[in-house]
Amino acid sequence: MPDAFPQTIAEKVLTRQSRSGTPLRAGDTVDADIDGLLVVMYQYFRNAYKKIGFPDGPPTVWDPDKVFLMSEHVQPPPDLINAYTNLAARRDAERLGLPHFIDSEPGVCHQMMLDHGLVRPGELVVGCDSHTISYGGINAVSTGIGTDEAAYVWAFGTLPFTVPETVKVVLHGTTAPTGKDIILYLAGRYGETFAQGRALEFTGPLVERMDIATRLTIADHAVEVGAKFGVFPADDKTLEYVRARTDKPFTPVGADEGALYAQVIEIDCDAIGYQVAKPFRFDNVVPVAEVAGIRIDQARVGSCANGRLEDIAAVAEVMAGHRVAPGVRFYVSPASMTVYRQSVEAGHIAALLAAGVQVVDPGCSICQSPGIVLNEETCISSTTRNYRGRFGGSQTAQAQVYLATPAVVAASAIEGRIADPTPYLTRKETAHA
Amino acid sequence: MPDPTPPAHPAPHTGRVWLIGDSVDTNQLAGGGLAGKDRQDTLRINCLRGLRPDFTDHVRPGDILVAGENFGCGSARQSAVEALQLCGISYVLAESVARIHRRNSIALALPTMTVPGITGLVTDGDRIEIDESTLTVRNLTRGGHLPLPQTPDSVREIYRAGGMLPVIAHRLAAQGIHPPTTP
Repeated sequence: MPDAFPQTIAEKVLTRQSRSGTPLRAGDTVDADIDGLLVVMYQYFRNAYKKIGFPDGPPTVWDPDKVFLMSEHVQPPPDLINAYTNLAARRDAERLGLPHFIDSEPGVCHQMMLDHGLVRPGELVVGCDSHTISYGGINAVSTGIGTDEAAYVWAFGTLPFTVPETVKVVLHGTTAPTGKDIILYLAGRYGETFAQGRALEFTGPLVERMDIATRLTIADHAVEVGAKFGVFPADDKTLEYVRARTDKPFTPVGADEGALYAQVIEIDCDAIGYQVAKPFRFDNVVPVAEVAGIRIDQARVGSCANGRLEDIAAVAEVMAGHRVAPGVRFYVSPASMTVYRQSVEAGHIAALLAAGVQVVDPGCSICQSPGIVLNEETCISSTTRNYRGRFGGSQTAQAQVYLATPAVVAASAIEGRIADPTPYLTRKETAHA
Repeated sequence: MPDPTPPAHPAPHTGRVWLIGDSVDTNQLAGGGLAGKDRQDTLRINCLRGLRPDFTDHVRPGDILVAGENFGCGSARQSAVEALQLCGISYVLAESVARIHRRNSIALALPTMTVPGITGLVTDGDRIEIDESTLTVRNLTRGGHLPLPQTPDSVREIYRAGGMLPVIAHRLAAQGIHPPTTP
């Protein structure tokens, strides 16, 4: 290739996926070939085609094998409109011959993408949900887009991209707390726009000690600091994780030595304790001690951020021998049916039920409503966001939502007040085992 | 090859300012709440209601939304742009705009610009003039002006087409795929 120079992951992948053949730098604009498209909320997607004269759904698809259509946001459907949408999705999937249509399986789309091996290292993947970025945890280069852009990709398989600048985040340490604590700490220290429109590359000696779940949590929340991509390197743990779920070939991507970064951030994760984001921003972060004692009415664990087996296990460990405080509603939602089944087999679900936890179906509703938090109430949650009205819409704009790692949420549910989980843990938390 | 004749600029637009703060996320633009007559009505009556309960009752077609940092952060909700359009908002000027919301604004052809310093130029209720030919925003109520960012021709083409959907229809037609019915 002419004029080769050391490239970041974003530069490399967009160079490969563009058809120009010349190496790209941050700032270049390019049409990139898409390796995978996730479509959820099909009602709106289908409506896009209706608006341009196709009332019976999209007339074509660029590559049926690269489209992943899921009913999950509305499975089971809560109303007639969505029930009919799911019917239309079934008919469209059959007409267009979509092999990866996931219909009667509730869950969070992103966890199902991982469970079913539909996303792989090195791929460029887009989806009409902002947390599509989470696949960076397994070295995919992925990001969220809107409905009409998804309709464009569906038909043509490409999308214009500006090659982003990259911020390198070097994670040091040996026994850091959870992924949630690391990303909350980063947001608190550098602000919720420090990665606006940029790519994040996570690297450093701590990464190889992190399990995949921890990486996925951090990558998921890259969008909460504005990032376009948030990518971890692929190592043996990544390859083992992916190969257990798909036999399709893939090529992991890594940055070149000497690649140009807009910023390099070095973090000593050993110094990070449990972190909590106060209302109403992801970067309004303090150590748990500063908010300990605040009364809560509701606690939630789940979502693409923290609804994996490791998160359910963390809750079960804290709850062992304890019960949810009177007056507190504690909802726990495994992120997918696979996670749910694994949690049952591990005995976690029985432990949660015995502790008075309300175990709810897998799905994206754990991040929105039902489970409304009223203006008079306070909630602590391991889910994705704490913006105003997140759990109830415009009439609940004063409801207080704090974000924290599942162990903090569980300890808070036991005490009825925001609490440090350390006394409830039988051993030092092993998020990076 | 780029189009040798760049798209014409729209005429200068004058409107009243609604000023909101930093980090207004898509949930506050399109997060539901009150039940409206239909989907569009529900979107309209809940737009910014949590922050500005007076907004949807008093906003008028042609009004301009001025926002702080990180406008439109959060979920990839195209309905957040649609809600502003249903309220009659003609332009959004913000200190900064979150990535997905910026792309959705282009896709739905709602001019949404990053204008550093804009929240210092205006106060709530001012009248301002947006002139895309001179790339200037002018405060008609209390004076002062700021430069507007240049919009790339590729983006202006999408605005001129009326958004992403007409672009899709055009490209499908070029492949011989036409609607079975008139839209």
